[in-house]
Amino acid sequence: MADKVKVLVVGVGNMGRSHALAYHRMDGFELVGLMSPSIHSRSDLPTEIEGYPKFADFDEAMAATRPDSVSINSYTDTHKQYALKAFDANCHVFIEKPLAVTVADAQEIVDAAKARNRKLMVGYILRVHPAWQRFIAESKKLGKPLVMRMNLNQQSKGEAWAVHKAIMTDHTPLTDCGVHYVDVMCQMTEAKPVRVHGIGASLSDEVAIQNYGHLHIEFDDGSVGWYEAGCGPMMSEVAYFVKDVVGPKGHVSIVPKTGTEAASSDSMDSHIQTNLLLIHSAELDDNDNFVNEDTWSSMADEPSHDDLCQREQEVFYTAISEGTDLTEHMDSALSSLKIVLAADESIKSGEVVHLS
Amino acid sequence: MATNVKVLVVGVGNMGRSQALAYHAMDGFEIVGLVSPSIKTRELPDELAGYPKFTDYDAALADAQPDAVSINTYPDSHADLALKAFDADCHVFMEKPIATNAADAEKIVGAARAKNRKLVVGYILRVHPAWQEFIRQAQGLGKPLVMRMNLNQQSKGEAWGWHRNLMESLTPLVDCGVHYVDVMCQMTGAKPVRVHGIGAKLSADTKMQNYGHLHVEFDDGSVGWYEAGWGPMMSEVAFFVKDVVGPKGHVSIVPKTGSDAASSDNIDSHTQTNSLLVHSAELDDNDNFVNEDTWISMADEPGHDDLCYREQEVFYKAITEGTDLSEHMDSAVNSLKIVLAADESIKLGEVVHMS
Repeated sequence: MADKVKVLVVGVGNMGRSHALAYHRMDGFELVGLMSPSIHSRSDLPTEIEGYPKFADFDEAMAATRPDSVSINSYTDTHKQYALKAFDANCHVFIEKPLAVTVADAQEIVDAAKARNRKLMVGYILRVHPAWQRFIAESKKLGKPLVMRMNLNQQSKGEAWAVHKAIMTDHTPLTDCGVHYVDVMCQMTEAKPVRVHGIGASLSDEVAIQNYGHLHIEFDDGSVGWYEAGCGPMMSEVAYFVKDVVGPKGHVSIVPKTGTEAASSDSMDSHIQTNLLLIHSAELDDNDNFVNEDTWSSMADEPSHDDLCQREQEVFYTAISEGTDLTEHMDSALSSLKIVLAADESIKSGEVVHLS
Repeated sequence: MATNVKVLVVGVGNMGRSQALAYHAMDGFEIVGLVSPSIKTRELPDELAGYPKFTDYDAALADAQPDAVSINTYPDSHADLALKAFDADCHVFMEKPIATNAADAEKIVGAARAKNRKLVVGYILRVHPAWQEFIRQAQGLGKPLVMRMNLNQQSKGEAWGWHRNLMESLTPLVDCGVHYVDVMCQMTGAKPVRVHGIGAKLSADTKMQNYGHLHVEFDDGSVGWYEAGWGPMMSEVAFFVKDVVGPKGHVSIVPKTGSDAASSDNIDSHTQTNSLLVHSAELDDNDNFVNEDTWISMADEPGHDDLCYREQEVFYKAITEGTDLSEHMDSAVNSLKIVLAADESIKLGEVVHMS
């Protein structure tokens, strides 16, 4: 496709504006409009994108801008309706995670993409992060089974707490954040997830949904993982940022640089900022002492949140213009959503959920 | 009962020698023997060098005629030794876990009750002032509680040797977990209802899985997780988590500000608490915190041997003053049942419902 890809951005919150800035900067895209029900009352849009056509209604925006692609960054409960309408209009779709509120809805979106032969890309931002790609590559050298320990807890107050409360009208933190990490676990093991168990608790009377969750996941190669997510003013910052994988041959972990503290738990950049990759080998000599010293690698290439959004859009652009096969990508998006929703289901039923 | 309690110490490993040193230091106890199959070749602390040594338990019981037996052997021998001690009309101190299966645990407690003898199980955190404060603070956080605890050990050298030995009879989850699930039960004051476990065998040198993680749910809506992994491959990332969150905030045992927690396989660092961090969730009208976090320094930090001494003080008092140990014994059985349920859950791939 020689011409620019016309893109309509739906949703101008945190993620929407980051993606809009990426489209604005990139030669391959032409940003043709910004849509959000409250757009006319928003005065806080970044200057670079302030001047684009604004719409409060999706259908109106689609008719007026006739885009080639739609970038969906709205609350999850609107994902299905916008995505299906976009495919109906023959558009490609970029869509933020989680793909949908239910597995059935997510499946419908994927089926529509396939039926229409359009590209569907889901915002699994860690997939374009060089340090996370390296983390996954190193984990594959640890042998099997793997024990994958990951979390992201946020002691949130002020504005961040307000954002969390809004997200929690749709999703538990486990579902909203967990998809990234269980997707990483699936990439690390390259095995099939088979069982999920969850526990959760409602620690705030300001939200109806549980603001804390912890899941167990088991794979068919014997690997196991756990993911934890909790947010709110009561949350602890003890062990709030765990990205750690252990195998028979040792462990590899993303850790803060020595001598510095990890940035505050509710700062967006600190969620992605990787600091150092710690690699530990379990090899012992005849006296049961370690043969090798631990190594710390600095992640020289530390893209910011906005850089990563741009990298995602580069992948989206290449998929549209060169026809990249996104089957694995879409299947993984479905699989990771199934896993976290199974955790929510497990919490409700009090039983293990067996994945088909 | 005279104030002198004659005690026979069985097992002279790490815990056995610590408990023996306590009996030696205390006026109320008189050590009448040290028992271990390998006792003739063991290097013992100087203070214990003079006591009668036995390789055979039955002979020691008959010969030394103790009032109490202190059992500090591998867990799979606990039931046999304890039942014989009760048969000989002795009181029993024993290291945790009380047994390797629930049936044996019930039998041991049943025998103590039938013989009207005292049974104290080595739940060392119960005599630790900082842990007592941790529990008390947790009870002020509202409900439900989220209790996050672990003790992972990247072990090499001698420590890895001990771990492999322990793993002949128990997983780390069972061996260590009993302390922490007992703390969780004390914090909630509620009944554990469901347990789920995951585990993995990361070493070719152990019989059992050397890594485990459990979920436990209580009937008041509280939830907890406990993790334990041992071995040279284990990570020291987040290896020492003692944290409880409730609606009103959280309380956590943390290393003192500016210092690193001691290495993960050092036994003093397991009980050493450093500071208690207390955080309040209360927000003002702008959703900002009303209160600053506070750190309570644990000035009175008993070392491992001090704690063993405190446990034996409890044992002595129970024997001489007749303290009611029902709650203590029931908790020992209950906490064992929880961790065994985790092991069972791992094997079955299902949740275990506690009766």
